[in-house]
Amino acid sequence: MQDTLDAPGSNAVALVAHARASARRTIADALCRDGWRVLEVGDALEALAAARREMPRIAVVDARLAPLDDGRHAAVALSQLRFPTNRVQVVLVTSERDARTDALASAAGGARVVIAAHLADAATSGGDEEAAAAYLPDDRTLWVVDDTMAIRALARGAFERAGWHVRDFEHLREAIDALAGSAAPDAVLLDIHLPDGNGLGNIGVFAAAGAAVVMVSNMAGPDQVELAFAAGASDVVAKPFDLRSLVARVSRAVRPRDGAGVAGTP
Amino acid sequence: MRISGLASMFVAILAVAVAVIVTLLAMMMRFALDVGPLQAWRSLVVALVAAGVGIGVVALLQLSLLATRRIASARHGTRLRFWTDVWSDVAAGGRLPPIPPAAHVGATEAAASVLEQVSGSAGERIRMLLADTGLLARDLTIAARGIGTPRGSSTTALERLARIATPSAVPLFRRAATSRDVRTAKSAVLGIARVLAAQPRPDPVGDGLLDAIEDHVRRLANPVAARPFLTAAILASSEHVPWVCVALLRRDLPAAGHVAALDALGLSRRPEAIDLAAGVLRLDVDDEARAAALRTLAAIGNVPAWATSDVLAASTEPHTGTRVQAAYALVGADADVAIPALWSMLGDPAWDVRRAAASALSRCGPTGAAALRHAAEAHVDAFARDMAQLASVRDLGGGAPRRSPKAPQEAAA
Repeated sequence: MQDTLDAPGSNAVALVAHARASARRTIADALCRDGWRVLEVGDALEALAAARREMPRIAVVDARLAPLDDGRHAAVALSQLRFPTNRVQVVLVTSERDARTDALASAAGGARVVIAAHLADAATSGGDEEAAAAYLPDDRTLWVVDDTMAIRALARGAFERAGWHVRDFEHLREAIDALAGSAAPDAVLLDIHLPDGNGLGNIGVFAAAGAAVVMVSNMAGPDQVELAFAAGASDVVAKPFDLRSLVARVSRAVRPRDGAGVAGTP
Repeated sequence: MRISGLASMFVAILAVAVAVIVTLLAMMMRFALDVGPLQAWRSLVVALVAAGVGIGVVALLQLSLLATRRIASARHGTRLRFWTDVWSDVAAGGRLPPIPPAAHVGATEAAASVLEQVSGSAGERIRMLLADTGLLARDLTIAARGIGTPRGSSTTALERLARIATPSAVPLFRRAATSRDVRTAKSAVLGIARVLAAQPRPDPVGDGLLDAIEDHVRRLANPVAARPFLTAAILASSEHVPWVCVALLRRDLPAAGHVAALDALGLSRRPEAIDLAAGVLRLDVDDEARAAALRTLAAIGNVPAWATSDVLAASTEPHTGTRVQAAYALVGADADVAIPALWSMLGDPAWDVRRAAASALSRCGPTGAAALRHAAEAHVDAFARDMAQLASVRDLGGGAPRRSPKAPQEAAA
């Protein structure tokens, strides 16, 4: 990156917009080493929101990033932003240069193009939970046991998009009854404080049926985390949570039960 | 009891009361005016019928009101569920459908409830769409109207904004934090804390939060009662809790502000809390702040060696609350020092301190348990023996030892 960008000033902000977390991390590491304060984002809308908030000096954008709702590529939208003291200097990252990339660079106000073929392999280079989660088959079942409507809706939206079959329960008793009458799910997203019981005390019920139990709570202190793991929970997630991380963590919790890991991941 | 149950009971009591009054009046008329029994019965029947009709009308009105409220509540619930699903889909990458004007409040409310649960890029996406659709500007306008003279709709809008936690609402929150209306001020403080939680750096939003907390605490008639809220608000700043607490402890605030900061530190279980709390214990002169510092050390369960003497000194202070918290904090100190001190505290004049010392001893591992059982038989103070006996049974599940007692120093060794 160093040869393509101006030297950063003190506390200069760089935005990295790339669909792949591992590629984002690789670019961000390089920028951090060069003295930039880096913001990492995974899609075009997020990139625009972050840019409006943080007014970055440069934006390193994946040329293959999905466009915004209005059809504009993030690179174009970012190049059109005007801040009081600066404009965003856009750099397009692509694994191979073609006519489409050149047209995009031109539309983005003459953005520089960096060819970085190694980033295409970054997702499978190991340790990337989000990339690994994407390799999971599409027939997973998740039960969400939470009395908060928003949590149930959020989990349903995110996991169904990731290919999971989702069933949600407002009460613990409903879920336990359902367990008796149907096959156990692959994973259970279980709240700690439920109207008709404590999730911590019922982890074993779901774990014994073969489900990976991931606890969610906004008040999970060290004692509760310890209790949850001791009772057989696979993970504990604090509210509020990042949706992509949640999907990745639940996927990771399920993966060991397959007997074989995903290629290239631990 | 539910509202419908209360309404039925109210109507029934009203009916019985009216019937009794009418009957008594009719009987009085019979004796006072000396009218014939036929006239008296006719009057009684007419009066009862009139009262019955009146009560029927009241009941009908009451039930109509209840039904209307229920229908409105059900509609709001349905709308909220619909928009919660929509925003959840948006958070996962879906598109936002057009929002009709009639659904503005429901859609914003649902967005706020979703934003309370989600962070990161999904949260940013929702906030951006709230701004693009004008819903955010609408709530900012409504909330701003009520800052001087609070009203229901503006306070509700401010509460929504606090849950949405958008940086564009920070100037409004700063103004609202100075409101005399406690609900408004609390929403404002919580809103800034939630905005701060999403920032990579504490400044400049953090400074706004500190000012808001200070304004709020100084305006309260009873700051002590606001401590749980202040602690929750500080904790809402998430990763910035240590920064907020350090900055608050440096400010010249009413003690409630410092205590809330220390409690938040303890609940956050951050490693920085140990040195900060120990520093307050050494330098602060306020009893409540010192007790809070000890409570924080107890919550973390670790007293650094350099602060042990301060905790020991606190165990003999006149303020009972400080001595109680010192007892609990000693659990995290070196056992050689803690157990003899707790042994002495078992004989404290205050029951609360004796109780805390016994409880603390039961948590000091096998050595503490042995000392507690020993104290149940051998402590020089009769009250201490009673408390140790009680704690042995309750906390250790056994009575006094059968073997010969040891001195506390010996037990600690």
